[in-house]
Amino acid sequence: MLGFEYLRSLESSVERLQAQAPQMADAARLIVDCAVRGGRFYVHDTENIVSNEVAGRAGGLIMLRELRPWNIIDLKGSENDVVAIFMNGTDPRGERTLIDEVRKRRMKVVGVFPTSSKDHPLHSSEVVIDNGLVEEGGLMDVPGFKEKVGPVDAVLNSVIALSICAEVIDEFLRRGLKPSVYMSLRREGSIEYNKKMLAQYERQGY
Amino acid sequence: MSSGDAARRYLDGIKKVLGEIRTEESEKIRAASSAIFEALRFGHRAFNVGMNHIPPLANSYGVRGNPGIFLPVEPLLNELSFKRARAGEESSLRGDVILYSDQFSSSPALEELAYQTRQLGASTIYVGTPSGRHSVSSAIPNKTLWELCDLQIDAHTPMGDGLLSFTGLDVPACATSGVTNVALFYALNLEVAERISLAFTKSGPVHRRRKKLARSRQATRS
Repeated sequence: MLGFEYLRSLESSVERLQAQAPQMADAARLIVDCAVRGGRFYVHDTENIVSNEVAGRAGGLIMLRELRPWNIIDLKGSENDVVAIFMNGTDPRGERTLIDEVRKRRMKVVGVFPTSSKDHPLHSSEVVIDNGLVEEGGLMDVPGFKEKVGPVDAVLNSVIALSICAEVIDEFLRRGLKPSVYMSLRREGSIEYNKKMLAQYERQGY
Repeated sequence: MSSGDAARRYLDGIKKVLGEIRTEESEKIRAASSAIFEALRFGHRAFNVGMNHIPPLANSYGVRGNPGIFLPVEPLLNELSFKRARAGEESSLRGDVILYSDQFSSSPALEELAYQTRQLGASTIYVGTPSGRHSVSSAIPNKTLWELCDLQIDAHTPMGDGLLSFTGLDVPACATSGVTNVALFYALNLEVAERISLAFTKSGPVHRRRKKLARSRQATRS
C-alpha cells in the first residue's frame, strides 16, 4: 500500500511542477540565447545525481555538461555560459562557495531550489525554479524504521531537468536551429547517427 | 514565444507513465515485495544491482530515505568471487533475492550476472523494459534480463528512451527510464518495509496480548 501511495504522491508532485513551466521556458530562452553566442550549458547538483541523469544520455542534449566542484578550478567561464544548479533543503552549506565561483566567472545561473527558503543564495539567479524540496530524506513514516522512507528529490529534480531540456530543444527548433541530441545506443544505426551528431555539435556548439 | 508547452508535455507524459506503472504493474510489485519480504524473514538477503544513469546513485545504500533493505552489489560480487575460487561448493545464494534494473532488458553485464546468480539458487527480479537486441550484443545468447529473471516489472520506457517527439528532430528526446526506475525501487522498498512493519505488530507484545484476550473471551463464552 505504501509503495503505491509513494507513486501517487510522485504523480501529484509532478502535476504541481506544471506551475513552474513558464520559468522552465525562461531558463530555456536564456540557455539558447547564450548557446548561439558560443556559450555552454552546465548542470550541477551536490550528489551528481541530476547531472548524471541528463548528461551524455539517450534522447539528451549533447551540449549539456556536468559541473562538479573540482571542474570549476580550471574553468574560465564567461557571461555566455549557463549553470543550472539544483539544491534541496534550506541550508546551502558548502554550495555557497560554488555559487560564488560561478558568479566570479560571470556565468548565468538557473537556480532550482525550495524558494520558500528566504536567505537562499540562489534567489539571485537569473531564473528561479521552485522544486519545493524543503525537506530532505524520505517521504513516508513506517513504524519500526528510524527515518522516513522513500526520497523524492532525485526523481523530481530529474523531472525538472528533463523538462528544461524539452524546452531547450523546442526553443532551438522554434528559431530554426537544430540541436544535437543523442540517439539511444540500443537502436539500429545509433553509432553512425551519434557520430554525425557529435560532428554537428562540434560545428555548431549546440 | 514558448510559454512552457514542451515542459508541460514532458510533465504530462511522465505523470502518465508513473500512473501506468502504478496501475498496470501493481500485481508484479506486490508479488516482488512479497518474495523479498519472505526471503528476509527467513534469514536470506536482498541485493540491488542497478545500471542506467541515476539509479545506481539515487538508490545507493546509505542514501537518506533508503531503508537499507537491499544490500549493494559489492557484497554480492565479493561472494561470487569467493565462490568462483572455491568452485563446487554448495551455493550460498539459495533463498536470496536479487533485484536487477536497467533501462532495457538487453544488458550484457547484468545478463551474465543474472544468469550466474540464478544458477547459484537466487530468485531474480528485473525492473526495466523489454527490448530487442538491436546494436547491443548479449553475453548469454538469446536471453535478455527480461527472460532470465523469475519476475519482471515493466518500467514502461518508450522506444529509444525518449518521451517526446519534436517536428524537425530525428530522434525522440527526454528520457523516462532513470526517473521510473528510481520510483519503482522506492515503491518496492516501501511495500517491503510495510510488510516488515506489520509483521512486527503481529508478532509483538500488543498482538500477543490481543490474542491472549481473544482466547480468554472465547473460553469465557464456552
